Amino acid sequence: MEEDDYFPNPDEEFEMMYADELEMMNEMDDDLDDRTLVQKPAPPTVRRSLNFCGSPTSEDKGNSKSASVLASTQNNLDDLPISSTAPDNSSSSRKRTIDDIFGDIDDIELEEASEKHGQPLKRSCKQLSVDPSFFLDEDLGFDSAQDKELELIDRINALRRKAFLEFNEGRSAASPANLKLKESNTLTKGVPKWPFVSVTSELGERVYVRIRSDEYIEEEVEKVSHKGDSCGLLRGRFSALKNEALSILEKKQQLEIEANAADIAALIPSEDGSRNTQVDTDNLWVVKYKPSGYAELLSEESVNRTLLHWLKLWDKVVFNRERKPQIKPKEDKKENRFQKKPFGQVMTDELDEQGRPQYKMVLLCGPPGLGKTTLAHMVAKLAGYNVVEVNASDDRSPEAFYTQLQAATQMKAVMGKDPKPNCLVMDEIDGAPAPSIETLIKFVLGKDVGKGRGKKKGSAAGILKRPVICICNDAYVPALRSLRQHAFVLHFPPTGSERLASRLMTIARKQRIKTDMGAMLALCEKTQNDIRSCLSLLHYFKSQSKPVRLSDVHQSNVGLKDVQKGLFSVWQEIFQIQRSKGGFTQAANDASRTSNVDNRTPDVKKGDSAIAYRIQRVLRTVQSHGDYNRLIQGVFENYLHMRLRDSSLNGLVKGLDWFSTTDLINTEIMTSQNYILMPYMAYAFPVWHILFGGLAWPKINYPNTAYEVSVKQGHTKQILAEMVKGMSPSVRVNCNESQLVSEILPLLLEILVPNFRPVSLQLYSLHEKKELSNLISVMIDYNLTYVQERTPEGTYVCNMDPNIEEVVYFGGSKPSRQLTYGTKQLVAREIDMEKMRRFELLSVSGQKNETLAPGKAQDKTQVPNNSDSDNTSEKVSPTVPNHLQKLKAKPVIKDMQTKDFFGRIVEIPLTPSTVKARSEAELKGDIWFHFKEGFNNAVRKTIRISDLL
Amino acid sequence: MSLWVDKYRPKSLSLLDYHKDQANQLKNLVKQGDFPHLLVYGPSGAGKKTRVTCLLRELYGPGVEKLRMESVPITTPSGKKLDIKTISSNYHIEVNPSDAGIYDRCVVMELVKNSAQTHQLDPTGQRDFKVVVLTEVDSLSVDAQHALRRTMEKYVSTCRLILISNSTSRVIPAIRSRCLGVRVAAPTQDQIISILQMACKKEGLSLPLDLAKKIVDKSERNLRLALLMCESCKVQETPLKEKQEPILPQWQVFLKDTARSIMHEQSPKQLMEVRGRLYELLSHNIPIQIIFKGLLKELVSNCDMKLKAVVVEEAAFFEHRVHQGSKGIFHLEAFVAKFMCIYKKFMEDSVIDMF
Repeated sequence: MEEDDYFPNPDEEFEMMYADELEMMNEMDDDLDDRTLVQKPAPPTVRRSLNFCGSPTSEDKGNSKSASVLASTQNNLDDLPISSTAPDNSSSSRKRTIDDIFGDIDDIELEEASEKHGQPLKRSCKQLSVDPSFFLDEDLGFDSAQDKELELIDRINALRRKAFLEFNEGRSAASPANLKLKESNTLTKGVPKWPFVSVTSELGERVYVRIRSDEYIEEEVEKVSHKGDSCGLLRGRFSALKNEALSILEKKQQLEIEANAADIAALIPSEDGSRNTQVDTDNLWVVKYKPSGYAELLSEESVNRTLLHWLKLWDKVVFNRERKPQIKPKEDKKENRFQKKPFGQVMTDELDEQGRPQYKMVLLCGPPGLGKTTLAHMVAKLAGYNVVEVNASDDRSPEAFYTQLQAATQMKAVMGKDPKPNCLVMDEIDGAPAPSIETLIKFVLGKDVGKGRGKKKGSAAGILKRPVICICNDAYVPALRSLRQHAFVLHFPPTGSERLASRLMTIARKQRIKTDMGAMLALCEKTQNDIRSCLSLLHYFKSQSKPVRLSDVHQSNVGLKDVQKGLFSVWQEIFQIQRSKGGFTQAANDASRTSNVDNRTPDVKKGDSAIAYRIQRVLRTVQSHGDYNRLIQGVFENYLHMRLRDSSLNGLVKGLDWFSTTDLINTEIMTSQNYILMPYMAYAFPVWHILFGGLAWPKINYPNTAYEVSVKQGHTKQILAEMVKGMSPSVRVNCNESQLVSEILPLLLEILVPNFRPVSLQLYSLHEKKELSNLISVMIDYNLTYVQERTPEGTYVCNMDPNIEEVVYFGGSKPSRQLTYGTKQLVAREIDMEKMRRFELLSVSGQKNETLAPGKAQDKTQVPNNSDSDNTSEKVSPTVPNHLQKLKAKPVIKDMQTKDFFGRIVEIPLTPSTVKARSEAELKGDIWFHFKEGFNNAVRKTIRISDLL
Repeated sequence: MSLWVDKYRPKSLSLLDYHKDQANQLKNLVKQGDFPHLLVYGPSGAGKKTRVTCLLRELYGPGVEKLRMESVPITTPSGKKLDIKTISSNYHIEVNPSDAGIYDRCVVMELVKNSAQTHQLDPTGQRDFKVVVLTEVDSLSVDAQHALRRTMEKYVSTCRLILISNSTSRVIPAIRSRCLGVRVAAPTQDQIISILQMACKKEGLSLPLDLAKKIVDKSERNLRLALLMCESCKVQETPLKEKQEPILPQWQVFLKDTARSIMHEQSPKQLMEVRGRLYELLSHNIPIQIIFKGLLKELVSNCDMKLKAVVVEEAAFFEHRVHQGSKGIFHLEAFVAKFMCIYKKFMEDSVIDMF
């Protein structure tokens, strides 16, 4: 019983129950008293007296035989007048007597009933030492013999006596005064007229108890039992009630049985389909056959255990419970066994200062359908937690995430019947945004350090005190990178095929699906041990309501998982012929073709089917991957490493033909966005598989050659572009890039290495000087120069600046002739000089052009300007209001006209020399500096850079 | 003072060394003051560009030679920004649309429109139209060519197009019909020899005839290559000698080695090696067509007569695929493998025949 579990000490519990019982009984008594008070003047005494004198009744029983004879005659005489004159009274009195005898019986009755209903009154009944057989007798319904009745009365009295002895003795110890008060037909103080038995009380009072005939008693009992409603204590007749109670009990039992039957029916479906479908619609099988206990978990035991162990480590901080020392050595042993396993991290039993395990989180990762979520829930429940799940369907923005975290880890359900601490399960965490995961990590760790947001609220309260389990499919999602460092990563290995298959078999048996182990194994293989999809497939087969055979599993198109394999595994699939696993897949094919197996050519058939299977397999793998271009590139760069059997190279040609075909298709797709052609690309892979596939393990390299080549190409292009950018336009016109690469540059490099003696420039002969100047002009035209560079060895080399040597020379080939280091330096210097010279030439010629034009203009405008400059300024000034006028610099009159004393302009005769000087000054540029003119009489001379060079 | 190629380039139509009839015709064409769109085509190194430059000079005078390089920013419809390098004078603009890769259509549309829509400001300028020179038209995408053809008609009053290409086969008929085709054939061997000798004479050297012939042979009637070779010979040994071997471009040497290795052995391993070499060539930006051509030439030269036709056919097939597809190496390797297969079979058969 439940109560037993709650209260380990049965005695205490009994006391409590007993107290209740006492209370209830007291209440009953009071109730009875009240009722009797209402109905008659002095009932309690009557009852008590009867109770009190239980022994006389037993006496009464003893001499019943003698008394009954007397009573039979007397009774009739008595009864008739009483009943006729005062029916009410008589009935009440009669009732009273019966009440007195049986009045309290419903205490017992109730108790008994309650016991039968499984209520906790049982113990009190036991206490009263009620014999169940007594009630069994009662079930017979009072139609038994008289002595049975007597026995009944006797027992009731005995019970009551006992009860009173126990309950009421101390309290209302049956005061003699009360006893004297009784006034009834049954007991009289005086000597009655009817047959009696005299009883003397302890106090010496003599009481006469009336002896009734057996018939009378029987009648009375009958009356009481048939009394019905007027009684008020019982709703109906006792036996009716009894029956009712029994029927209720029976019904309950029936219901229970029915429920069980339904359960059983659910487990073992009957033949008729209607019932089945009804059951099936209730639940998905995935839900229905969810493991109900730890032992039923399909995931690998070590993982389960590790997770449970980790959760148990939290016990100290969560439940404030030390780990039991006697278990410890055992667990340590287990732990050691685990530690041998190649986990990335090793979980230790050590707790930190807060009593928490080293890792605050566990990250469960594995492909879908292995039961990660189920495991997390199961284990958390087992460890006594209330699971709070946060999955992808919830709002996982950082703020919402944080509130959820806080709610789950720092609060506790109080409303439930048994509040348990929370355990946070973060499902599908790989889909959560990175900031949310950051929040999680901060929450888990930041508190630990004491820097987190929680510190504001309080030091100890902020610490994470609840376990957090994170679940993901792919642990290597970039967002989880930091999480992986802080969490204990548990990789979920795929479920064993055999284990899964046997479970599927049990389920199939329960569902009455006719199948065999082989089919189930095939199913597991097909779904790659995904429990969920296995069950769905099985469900699907069930709905078809026919036996599931191996061929069905193979042929069905449903349930094929679009599992995207990694690039390498796809390539491997292409290059490696899968050996049939113990004839398993082979058998499948054979089985499907058993009908048309030809005895003559079984090998051919077999081979054919194998090839068909291989083609299917490769095609499916490739199609599910989808990135055809990269796959093609991978095949292209690896196929030549495979061992090719044919010496005629025909296979090679065929394969390459497919390569170029796929390229054509791809180009067409890319240029015209005609994606309808996309599916056709996949068909090249089976061809390659047939042509190049081998049984040996293929060593596959990642295809990066094409990428490297394109990088190099880009580099070359960059060099060329750099070169072209600075080329002189006249040269540039006559060479485009392809010509540069293929024709000009290779020979240009040969031309740019004239023979120079390794001597100083000054010692060069005229011819050499000419050569040099030619070389330099060519190099400038083509925007080339030499640059000093430091090699890793520490020596200096001169390289061409846009390094066209790289463009021109292949592999190991080196230029046949090269200029010496010194010459290159010399050339580089000369190039710089020449460039400066040219630049100056250009600027000087530009200057001339520019200065000429404004000079002329100035001459033209100067004349009128001078004449009416005064007038214009005077004219302008009045138009502008005073406050808006601004200070303006007075126009400087360039030609200071010399005036004589009277203000008349003195005409200076223009000498030709001054005119020439002025025009020259105007021609030669805008600004002239006269350095310390007038103080220095040193010879001034214009020196150009060209003169210096 | 520059390379002989540039130094001895004729500047006007009357100074051209060969195809003088054609030069005269062009001169007459220009004399009228107007001319249709031109499509100048011919093999590399035949003097197409020289001819066009001369034509422009004839048209606008020496002002055409004042060239400047500009980079024109162009925004594609997808929002990508490109810089296209142009060479222009006051009278003409020259552009290589294939620089822009797949966006050549935008370049053609933008540039041609821009230059065509602006009229010559100076009424004293000789012509009321500008010239747009488009080079490497054969690598122009079909889209761009289609974009071009309407523009050509629309702006015919303000702009003339001169298209330069190696062959007309990749120019769409619509454009071909809108242009006056001018074929510039490669100079004959004698013409090249005379030009080489003339150049050497001006340089104060004497060119032995044997060497000149060798150069012509090696240059494959490519005048530019011939002149460059000649100059490189001069750099090698100053008084030119008969025995001198003209230097070949490095990639040609490399390609020849590759062809030799294909002939040497036919196996997947060898194919792998050949692929490496082809990749090397591609990474040096050698156009794949040139690789194809060079390879085929080398391979065919060593083949039996019966094989030649087959090999050439295969080469044509795969070369065509190169143009259709985008990954050249696939087709190149496919060709090499095909050749290996054919050659191997032939060799085995002939060995069997011998016994």
